[in-house]
Amino acid sequence: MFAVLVVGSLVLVACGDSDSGSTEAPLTPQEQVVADLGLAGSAFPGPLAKPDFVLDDAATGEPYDFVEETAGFVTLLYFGYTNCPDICPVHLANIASALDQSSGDTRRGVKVVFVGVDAPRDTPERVTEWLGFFDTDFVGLTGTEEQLIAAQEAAAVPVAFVDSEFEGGYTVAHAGWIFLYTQDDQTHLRYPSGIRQSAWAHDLELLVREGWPSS
Amino acid sequence: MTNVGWWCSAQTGPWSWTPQFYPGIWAAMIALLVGYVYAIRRIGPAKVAAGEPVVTRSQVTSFATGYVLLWIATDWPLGVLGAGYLLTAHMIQYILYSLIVAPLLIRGTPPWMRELVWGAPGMGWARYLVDRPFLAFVAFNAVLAVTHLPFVADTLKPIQFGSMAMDVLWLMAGLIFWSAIGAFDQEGDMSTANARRLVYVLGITVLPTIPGAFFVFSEFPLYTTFEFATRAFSDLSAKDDQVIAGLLMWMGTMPILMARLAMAFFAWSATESRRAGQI
Repeated sequence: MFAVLVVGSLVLVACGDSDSGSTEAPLTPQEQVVADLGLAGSAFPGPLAKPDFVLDDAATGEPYDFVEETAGFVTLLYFGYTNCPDICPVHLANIASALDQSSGDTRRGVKVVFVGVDAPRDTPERVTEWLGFFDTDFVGLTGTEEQLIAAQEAAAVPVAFVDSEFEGGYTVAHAGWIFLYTQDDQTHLRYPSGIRQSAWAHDLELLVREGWPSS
Repeated sequence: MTNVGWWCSAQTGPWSWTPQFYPGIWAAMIALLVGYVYAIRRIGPAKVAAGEPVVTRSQVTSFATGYVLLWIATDWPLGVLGAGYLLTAHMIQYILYSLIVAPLLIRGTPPWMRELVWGAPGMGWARYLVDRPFLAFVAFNAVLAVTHLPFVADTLKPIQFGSMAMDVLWLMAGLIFWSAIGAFDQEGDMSTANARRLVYVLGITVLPTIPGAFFVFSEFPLYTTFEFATRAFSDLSAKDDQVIAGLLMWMGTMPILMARLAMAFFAWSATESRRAGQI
C-alpha cells in the first residue's frame, strides 16, 4: 500500500511540476543519476524493492518466483495483455529489437518478464505464442485473477480492469509503463510508452555494464 | 467501410484491413478527372489546328494509367500503410509518385494542356522551374531530401494536412522534374540536348542512394512514426521494414530510371548517327 501511495504521489508531483513552470525543484539523487547517465527512464523519488510474488511460468507451467528468478539481473517487468492493440506489442517489439542490437553481455544480463493481466484470455499457450513473436527469451507469467491482482499491488501499479466492451471482445486498462530493476534488486526507473529502441539499447547496455551507482 | 478522416495520415490504432473512406482523396481524384475531361472536350478544340487531334489515344492511355496508379498510391490501403505503418509502403508511394505517376501524367497531357496548367494563375513559380531543368533537378532532389528528414516526416505524417502536403509535394516535384526534360528540346543542337537529358536523368539515380544507405545501415529505426506503429505484419519488425525500404530505394528505383536512361541514351545516339550521316 505504501508503494502505491509513493507511485500515486509521484504522478501528482509530476502533474504539479507541469503546471508550475516558474520554479525549478532541485533534483533528487535518483533524478541526478538519470540526468548524469543520460537515461531515458523516469526516476523514482526513492528506490522500491523488487515485488515479491509467485506466478506461473507460461512456457513451463512451473511456479516462477519473481525475486528469486531475476536476482542479479537487470529486469524489465511489464503488466500487459496479449490482446492489447497498441502499447504492449510496441513496447515489447522495441525492447526485443534493442536487445537484438545489443552486445551478448547485455542480452545475457537482462530478463524481460511479461505478466498477462487478462486472466481469461492470457492463457499460458497464448502468452507463450504471443511473446514468441517478439523474443523467445522473454518470460511470460500467468495466474488466477487473485494472484494477478496481488502481483500488481506488490509491484505498485494500478490494478488492470476491463475498460470497454465491444462486440466480440473487450479492452483492458493497465499500467502502460515498464519497471526496470537493477542488479541491486530495486527499481529506480520506470519507462513510459514512447521509449525509442536506441534509448532502450543505451540504457540496458549501460545498466548491465555499470549497475546503478551506489550512493 | 469506416471513415477515419479526409486524408490518409499516421494513426495510433492497430492496422486493420477494413477499408477506409477518405473523402478528400476521392474529391481530389474526381476533380482531376473532371478537369482532364473538361479540358479535352471544351478547351482543347480551340487550342489545336483544324484536323489535329485534341488528344491522342496513347496520351489518354498514359494519363489513365498514371491516374489509376496515383489513386492506388494515395488511398487506402497503400496510403494508410505508408502514412503510418510501414516505411516500405511509404517508399513504394514515393517511387510511384515521383518516378511512375508523374511521367505518365506528363506523357498523357497534350502540349496545349501542359501550357494551360503551367501558365495558370499562381503557377508562375512552377513554370519558372519547368523552363530551367537545372533548378527543376535541384527542386526534385530537395523535396526528396527534406521530406525524408526524420523530423519533417514525423511531424507531417500524423497530421492530415501534413500528410497531404507530402503527397502533393512529391507529385508536384515529379511533374516539374519530368516536364523540365522537355526544356532540353528548345536547345538548337539536339545532340547536346540529348546528352544533357542523359546526365539529367542519370543525376537522380545518385541521390536516392543516400537516404537508402541510411535506411539500410542505421542501427535503429530512424522514424518514430514507424517505430511506434503497431506492426501491420507481425513478422516484420520496424528495423527490417526500414532495411527493405532502403533496398527498395536503391534497387526499386533503378529499373525505372535505367529504362528512362536507356530512352535518353538511344535518342542521343540516334541524333549523333543522323549527324554523322549528314557529315
